[in-house]
Amino acid sequence: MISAALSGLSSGGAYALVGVAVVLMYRLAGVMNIAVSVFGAFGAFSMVSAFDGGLGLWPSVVLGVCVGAATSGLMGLVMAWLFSDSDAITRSVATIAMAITFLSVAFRIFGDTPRSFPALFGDSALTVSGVVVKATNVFAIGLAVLLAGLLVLVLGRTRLGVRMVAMSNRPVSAELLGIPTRRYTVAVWLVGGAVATMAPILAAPTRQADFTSLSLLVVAGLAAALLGAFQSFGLTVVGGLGIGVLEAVAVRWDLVSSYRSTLPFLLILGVLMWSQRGEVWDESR
Amino acid sequence: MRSTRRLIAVLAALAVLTAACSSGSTDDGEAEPTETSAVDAGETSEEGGGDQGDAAGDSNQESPVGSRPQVMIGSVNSLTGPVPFPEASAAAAAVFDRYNANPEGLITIEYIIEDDAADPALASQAARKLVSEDNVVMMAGAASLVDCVVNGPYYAENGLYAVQGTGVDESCFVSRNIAPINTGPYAGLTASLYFTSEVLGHDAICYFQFDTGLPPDPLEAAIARWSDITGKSLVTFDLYTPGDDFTPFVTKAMDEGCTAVFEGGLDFTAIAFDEATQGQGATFDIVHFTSAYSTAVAEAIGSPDNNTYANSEFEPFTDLDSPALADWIELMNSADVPLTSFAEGGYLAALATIQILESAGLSEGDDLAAQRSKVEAAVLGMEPFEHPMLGSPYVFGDAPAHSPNQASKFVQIVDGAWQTVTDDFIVLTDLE
Repeated sequence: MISAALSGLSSGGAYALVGVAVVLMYRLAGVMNIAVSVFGAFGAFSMVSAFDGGLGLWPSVVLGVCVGAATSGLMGLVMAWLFSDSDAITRSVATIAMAITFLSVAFRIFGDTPRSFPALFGDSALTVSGVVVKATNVFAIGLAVLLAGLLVLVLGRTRLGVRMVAMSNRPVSAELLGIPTRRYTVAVWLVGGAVATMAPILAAPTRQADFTSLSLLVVAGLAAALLGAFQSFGLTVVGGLGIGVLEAVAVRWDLVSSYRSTLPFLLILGVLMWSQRGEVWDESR
Repeated sequence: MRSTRRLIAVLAALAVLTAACSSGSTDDGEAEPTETSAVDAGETSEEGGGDQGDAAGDSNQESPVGSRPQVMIGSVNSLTGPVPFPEASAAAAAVFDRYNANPEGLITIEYIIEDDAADPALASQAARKLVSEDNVVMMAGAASLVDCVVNGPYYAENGLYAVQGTGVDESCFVSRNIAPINTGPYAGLTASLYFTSEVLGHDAICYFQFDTGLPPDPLEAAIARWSDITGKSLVTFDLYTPGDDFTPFVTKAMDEGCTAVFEGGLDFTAIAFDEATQGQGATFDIVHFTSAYSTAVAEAIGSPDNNTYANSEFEPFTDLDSPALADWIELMNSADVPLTSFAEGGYLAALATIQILESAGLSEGDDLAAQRSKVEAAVLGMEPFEHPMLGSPYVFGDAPAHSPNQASKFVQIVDGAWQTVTDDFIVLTDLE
């Protein structure tokens, strides 16, 4: 069972990264971004297209991350321009339209054929309890933990972080105080897109990597973000790793193996119901 | 605020419009012009001689060889979608192109390729267009995830028959009106398990299958058939969904003590499974379906630490020196069709179709009803079609179900290329 659990870290790291991006955008841009993995997949497919075209591995990665960030940043600009006065629900719904649009655009550009992604660190690995944990997986987990820690520090201990928190809580007041809210919003979307692009790049080599599948990493990312109550980066990372481990363990359990892809949905449902357990169900509901 | 709402409405409309335009085929099931050789080949088949022609479906074509009866042949394919199969119909189109340019041919074939994008609704629309508007007399060379299950009954209602270039789901092998030229996933699975256990000598075999959403019953029946032949059973049989990470499956196979794994997916899953296997340092042999048997897979996997094999439903196409493949290789290269198993299936299906059509006694004055009647008689009474690329003779005949090809060969990746490891076909009917 330990080997089963450890084999889930490869997915868990990707889920944690997506979850961090989701929480970042929710906390600072006030939006639950359904399209974050679509932007990430866009960047990832740009990366693999460049790599297949002859560009070196790491330049391709940099290019892919830039494309994912730029795509996300562009949508952030649209969001700041059109939906700055809207509530979180309206903005989140707008991201659904973004996801559909970019999925269609991506199918036009990249097609819907799966692609073969290169492993970033080749066969480098370490062995834990008889299970080989690839350097790619260690990097994904380390990146998620590092980003989560960095964000906690920045948001809690720096002037920039305080301004950004103020912007997310009171956007109008922040703007009146001279905080460049539109610029900060775009920056949040840029960073979110860049983080979300690393997730599919790291996860794709050991799975059938078509655009739709990589875009659906957001489901597990949302589940991870929910476990962190859309507030805690640390719990989100733990949640993402936990979901990956749970899916891997489910492969060993014949009763649930065929349904393991529904685990993030069940988790979301369970957490939502648990969070509402103290509510009174009266006629208003 | 009002202008913002208008802008939101415009954005939403743009999103819907873009989504509508992004599908691989139009609403009436016609294939969109694409870069695939399938459509290009479909375009050229109407003029013959490899020339670029009008869009697929245009029947206003000159016969380059005088007045021969013109016959419309249709094909519903998954050219786009989650599991695309463009080569089969492209190869069939190349065969029909060449036939049309041959002055000794008895008929002129107009071959119409439709794309169903693996969508049942589009597949249904495409079939109805071919039957009702394009007046096809039979179907040939198709490779689709949904054509058989969706359109099999429709073909039967209209007295039409299909020589499938690649049969995928069970419906292709249990229909009176459909007879795939390929071995298929079920006989192929039985043959592959037989190869793994009896030729490679493995007793502990794990099986991981790509979950297409279809019921696993036919797969379980194929496994049972193997068990009946060999007296052996699998250690484990698991399904994986698109996007699943293979690492947990690899570690499961290692922990279960499997010395061989049959991975039932496609070319990209074969590459990803190899990556996961290499990453874990697993040492089991790996056997794949014929869909992994492509030059791209061999090049991507390179020199694997694990012995990696694949099923070949026909004479292995990588055995370039094989005299059985000479004509096929030349034709596919001239038509820019990739050399894959699907292309072999399309090629053979088209040749079998030509044999059927030439034996039908079609004449120039035949109307549609007469043509369809003659073709039906020719299909049901056809002589077995034999070809050195086939391990079993192909015959349609009048039977409730058809799975004529019961033969497989096997290939192994060595230094980035496939090498044939079985000199003779494994023919399942000889083993039972």
